[in-house]
Amino acid sequence: MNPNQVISQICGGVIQGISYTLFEHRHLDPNHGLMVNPDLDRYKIAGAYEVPEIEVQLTESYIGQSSTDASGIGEAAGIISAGAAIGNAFYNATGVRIRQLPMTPAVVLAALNQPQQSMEAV
Amino acid sequence: MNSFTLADCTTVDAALAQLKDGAVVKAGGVDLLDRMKNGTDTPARLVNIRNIPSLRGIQVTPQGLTIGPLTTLTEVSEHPTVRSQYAVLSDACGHAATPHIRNMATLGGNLLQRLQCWYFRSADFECLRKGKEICFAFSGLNQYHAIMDYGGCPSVAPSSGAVALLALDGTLELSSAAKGKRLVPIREFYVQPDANPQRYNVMAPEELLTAIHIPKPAAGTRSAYQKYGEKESNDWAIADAGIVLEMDGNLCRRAVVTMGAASPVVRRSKEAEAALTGKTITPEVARAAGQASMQGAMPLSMNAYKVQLFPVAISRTVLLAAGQMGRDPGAAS
Repeated sequence: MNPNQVISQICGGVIQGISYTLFEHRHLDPNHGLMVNPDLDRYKIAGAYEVPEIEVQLTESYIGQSSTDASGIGEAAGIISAGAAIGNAFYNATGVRIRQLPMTPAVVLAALNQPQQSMEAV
Repeated sequence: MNSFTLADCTTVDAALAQLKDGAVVKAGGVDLLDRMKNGTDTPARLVNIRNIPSLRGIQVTPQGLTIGPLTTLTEVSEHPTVRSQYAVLSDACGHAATPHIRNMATLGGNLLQRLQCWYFRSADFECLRKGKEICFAFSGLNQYHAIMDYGGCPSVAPSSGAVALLALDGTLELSSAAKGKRLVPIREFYVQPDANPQRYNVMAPEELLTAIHIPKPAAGTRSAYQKYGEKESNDWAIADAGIVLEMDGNLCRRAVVTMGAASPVVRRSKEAEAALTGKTITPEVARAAGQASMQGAMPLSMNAYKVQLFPVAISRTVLLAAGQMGRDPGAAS
């Protein structure tokens, strides 16, 4: 297995994970059902400015579930975990849980404006 | 995209002679080509003014600046005099869109781009601005729409250059073959939606924007612009602010506060200006000015967050202009 390819897969997954956590939204007009942002101007994806430095730590493990012993990594390590990591970081910083994606400024402000949730409630 | 003919002009007179029978001017082509690809604009004839050398460049005069409308946003933002004496304009042009768009987009085109509203920009929605009697944003998706002074159309003013030019009291020179030149202050240039929903500005179809004049700021003037988006770059403003302060030490003698993404026409906030004028600029005074700017705000169903955002944008940009705070890391890069 080429480690650089694995790292590259994970970086790509993290970038897409950040993108759907913070920006990506398919806006459908509620009255007509048409998508109102059907272009890359208004359908927002993470660009170079939005991507932080990504540090990947590989831990080798034997999965043994295919004839080549290879398995997918970008989705599992990157895309799925980025939303959880950002949500947990926000909770750690503010004590407030966000349970809605993308976490836009409007969503974050609405969460911060809520009465403080207790630790037990989350 | 519809088919069209293209007249390539290299002089102002040649371009003015072509401006008839529904011909549309193309400069950088950034906004116009988007609208043509969206199918909302279908001009049969384009007049390309991109190759008119006399419309490009910045002149520093004893009265201030004269900027050719074909000067790119990059050229405006990097000009040494603009940077040192007209920081609000340099900041506004230097933070629009992306570096590659700023290399193509002209200041004139930035001022003349159409409104931002995803219903207006879609050929699927025939709205008030297209001659019908309905606005889809009030009962639809309006998180990026206006919170003030919107009348029947809560689209937002998209031009960051206009936010800066309104703050600097700029004047536009409009030329036509039949009537010659006329000067229009930028504060009188844009048309409120309720005055005429199918007009965006006072320019006639046969007119061309031929110069942008900006008076020299009074001694002690400091200025700044900041834009806030959902993304750090390549995003439309959800709030932006232009600030011009005439300072005497830390005392503010005169203040201009302008806002872009709050309303269909760039606006000055007299309330915020009153909260700054005659005061020593402190974080508390800046915060009060930000709060004052939201008097009269009437957010729609999904954009109340902007009422919290604008005061922060304004207060931090006041402090940036006054030299009491660096550029906000939360603002667009």
